[in-house]
Amino acid sequence: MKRFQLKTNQLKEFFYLLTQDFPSSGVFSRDGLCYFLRYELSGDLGTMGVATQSVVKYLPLKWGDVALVNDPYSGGTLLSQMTLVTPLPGNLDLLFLVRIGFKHALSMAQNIEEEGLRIPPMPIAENFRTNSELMSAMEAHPLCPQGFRQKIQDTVLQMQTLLARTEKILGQNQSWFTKPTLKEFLKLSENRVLKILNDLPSGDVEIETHLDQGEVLHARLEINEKGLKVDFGGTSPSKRVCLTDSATHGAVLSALLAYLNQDMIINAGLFQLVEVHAPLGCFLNAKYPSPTYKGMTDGVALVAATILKALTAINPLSEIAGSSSANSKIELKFEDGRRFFDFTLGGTGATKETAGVTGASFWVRSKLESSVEEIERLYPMLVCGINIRSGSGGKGVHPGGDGLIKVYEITAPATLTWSIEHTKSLAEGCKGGKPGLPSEISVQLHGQKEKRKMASNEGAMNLMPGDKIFVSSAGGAGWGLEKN
Amino acid sequence: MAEPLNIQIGLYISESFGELILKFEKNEVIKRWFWPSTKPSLVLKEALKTLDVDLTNVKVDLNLGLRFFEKVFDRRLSGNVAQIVTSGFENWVYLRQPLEGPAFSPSSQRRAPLANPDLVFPLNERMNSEGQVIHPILESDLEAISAKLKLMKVEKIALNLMHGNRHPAHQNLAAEYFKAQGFSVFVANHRGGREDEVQRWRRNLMNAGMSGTIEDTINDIKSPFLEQNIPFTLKIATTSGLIESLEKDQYLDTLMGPWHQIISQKNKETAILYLGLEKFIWISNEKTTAWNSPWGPVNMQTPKVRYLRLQPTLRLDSGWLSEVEMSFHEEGFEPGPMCLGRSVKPTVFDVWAATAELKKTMGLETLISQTGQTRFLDIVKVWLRSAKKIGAKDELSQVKELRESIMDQLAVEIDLLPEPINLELVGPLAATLGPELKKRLNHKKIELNQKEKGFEITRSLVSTLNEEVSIEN
Repeated sequence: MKRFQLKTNQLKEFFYLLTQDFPSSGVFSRDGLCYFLRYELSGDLGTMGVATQSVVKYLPLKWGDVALVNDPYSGGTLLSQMTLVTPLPGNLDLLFLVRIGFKHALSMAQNIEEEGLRIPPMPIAENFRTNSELMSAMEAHPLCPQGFRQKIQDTVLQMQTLLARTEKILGQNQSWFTKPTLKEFLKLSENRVLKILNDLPSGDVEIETHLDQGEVLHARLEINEKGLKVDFGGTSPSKRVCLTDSATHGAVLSALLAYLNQDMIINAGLFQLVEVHAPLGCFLNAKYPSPTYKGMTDGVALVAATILKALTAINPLSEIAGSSSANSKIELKFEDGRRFFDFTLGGTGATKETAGVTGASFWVRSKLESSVEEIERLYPMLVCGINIRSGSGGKGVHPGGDGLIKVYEITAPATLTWSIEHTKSLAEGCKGGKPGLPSEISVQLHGQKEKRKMASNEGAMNLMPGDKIFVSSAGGAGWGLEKN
Repeated sequence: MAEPLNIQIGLYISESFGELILKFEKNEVIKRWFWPSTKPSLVLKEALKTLDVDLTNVKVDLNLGLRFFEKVFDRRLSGNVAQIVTSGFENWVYLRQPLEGPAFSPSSQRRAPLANPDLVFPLNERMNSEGQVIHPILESDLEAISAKLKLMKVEKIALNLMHGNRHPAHQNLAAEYFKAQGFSVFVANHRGGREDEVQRWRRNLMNAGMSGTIEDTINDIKSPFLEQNIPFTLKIATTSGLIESLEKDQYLDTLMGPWHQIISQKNKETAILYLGLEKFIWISNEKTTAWNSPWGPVNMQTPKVRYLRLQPTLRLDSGWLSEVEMSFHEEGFEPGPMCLGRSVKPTVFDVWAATAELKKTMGLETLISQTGQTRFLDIVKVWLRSAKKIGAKDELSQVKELRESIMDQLAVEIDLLPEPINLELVGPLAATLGPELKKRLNHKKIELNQKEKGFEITRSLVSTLNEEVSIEN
């Protein structure tokens, strides 16, 4: 590594500043080459570049235009995640992408059109003017997220205001904003990743994971000083979980980042070194109109966890016990139309150095914070408690992180829908560490002492005022054989 | 007896430096010093001594700004505060703490919690969102907790009850009980914006945790006047203005008090860029109701601020692209940049010290050491030895190139800052960096008033003692 790289560092700092107010954002070329990326979800890593390419394929996009897309089959992830793409000023023909999230509802739909409002690449603004008719049409859709228009308009304004300031900076012939510097930036990034890979053991491994719903994930991995190859040949078709191939790619990339465990700049310098093959017809390469909600939530986390486990099998020094990667989800739909959605995180797996973390996921870094007081003001329910599910983390020299237990009591009739994982396929322990407790959902009907545990991972039932719901998320697995 | 003569003092204690402006008739004493090595009380005593006046016939008005607590937030707060919380939510504040470290990292952890886990006590009480009592408070429960706290010699309690803000009956009952038992009880009131119990409870825990240190600091500042029987009034800058007697719920508001003080004296179209020795901060006239603390958002009414990416004590370290890059780690001033002679880690500050730009900055005269500066240049020499640099002949040339690059980055960052229309550069490094920034950013309306020589914050404290200042909310 060279001592000084003043121009490429300035370019890096510029991209950092440009994206700092947008937790999921990036800078791309028109053919989807990523120069700088920030992410909140695993899926972001593989899908943002594809979203850029989809937008460019259908829309000309000039300075002042903004495109909107959320379609998973065009590089989106959840239908509640909206992607906005607009050109950067300057002569390098770059695109600025921002992804924003809306509150999502639990979906058990059998096809994607029933899951929510699906938006293929659309011109949401042209020459700095919002396409009001188009916005109104989308807003009128029954499954359009709440607050859609305002949040989209606010974000578009924020992006355009920022880029207008950028125009002045870049118009001053900055010596670091050039094609050679961009090329050098990617090259240096790639070299850096290669150096890291070079210092790690090479190897290959085959792994198989069975999901609770019946899918079988099969992967052959090879990692060496040139990069990572993952072949998902032998993976079963979908029973309930569907991912797009770009989301699968994102899951693999997030596993690699977890394995490398360093603060890194994320761009094509890394992406170019990772090859992923997910055969058509398997649940990791779903096609329209397969529903993708479960895949984009639980599926991505489970794939990432499996690949991480495989990578750490090659490098025993970094072995980590399994985490309860998929979270437990419930939705309460009240008779007046109000819908309460909540997810409960499980425990993470322990490592050689530390115990797992309670009630956390390192595959999701959302800043959304749920407030009990707000929930109780908005919905006819009482949150009786949110606490640590003590002892649910797997035993070990370093125990797995505990799951959580949340207790709700409803005060108006509602339909409860739930979706949980880690009831049969528990996160595996490492080096003698034990798995954590499985997830469970129980209901205690008003006036009854006993709780009734729900047998299936997914389901729905009608509840009456006074009924209580107990959501217990799974614990992470332990590391190391605990001595008695 | 003659009318007492009036002495006006503005005193600003930031993370590592203190600033004093003392006005008496036509005289002014202006001082900046490294306060961890000299208490504010000693500096005040010295300043009073320099006045040629009979101290038996004076009256002091002192306005105080406190920001040193920002440094303390790197560690956990006082461990001896008990949290009494609605049963079922003992760990709720901790569970809502974000993970730290790179995303997707298996070694990510939450930082040490605000509340000492050994001192969290559930209280079996519950109100719903409409104020209806689901579980009443029993005196026996309060007695049991009180007895445990006394055994553990705990003196301070942060009372965090669900819906305690909108429906305070239980909160008031418990607070009165514990106060009667001799405890110091902290209860946080909502400060506008989103009503989120955890943001309020974090505020409460921070108020309780910092109370001891703030009270000690205020007592230290009062001591020179008390010792010499000098009548005085002491007001502290908070986000609600200058307050003579801080309520328990207002300790945290002092953190942003100096920002509120200075920005409230500007028109709505002006933002401030504070170029301090420890921090570069953009302060706007816009208000927000949450402060992003290291533990998560905290309910607080405060001017909207932004900490720049480029900070003066950022370490220059091996990074992603090269061996010399701006890191994300700030060295602060303990031990501080290399030029102070106590550290071996090069910083952005050292680059400016090496180009002799900081010589005239008050407060640094006795701190910057020749040994430290030489050590930094030695490091640059080492960098150059294996660098494939064409044209850089010696370490000073390389330092100048680094400096150019840093100033470029700073200019770009300032250019990307949100509007409004006018940007005023203030702070100890404004005189050093300001003229060049103005030139680089000649398309922006940047004001650089060199009259106050970097003491603008302290001046904003003392100015309200004399002039009528129009304060826009």
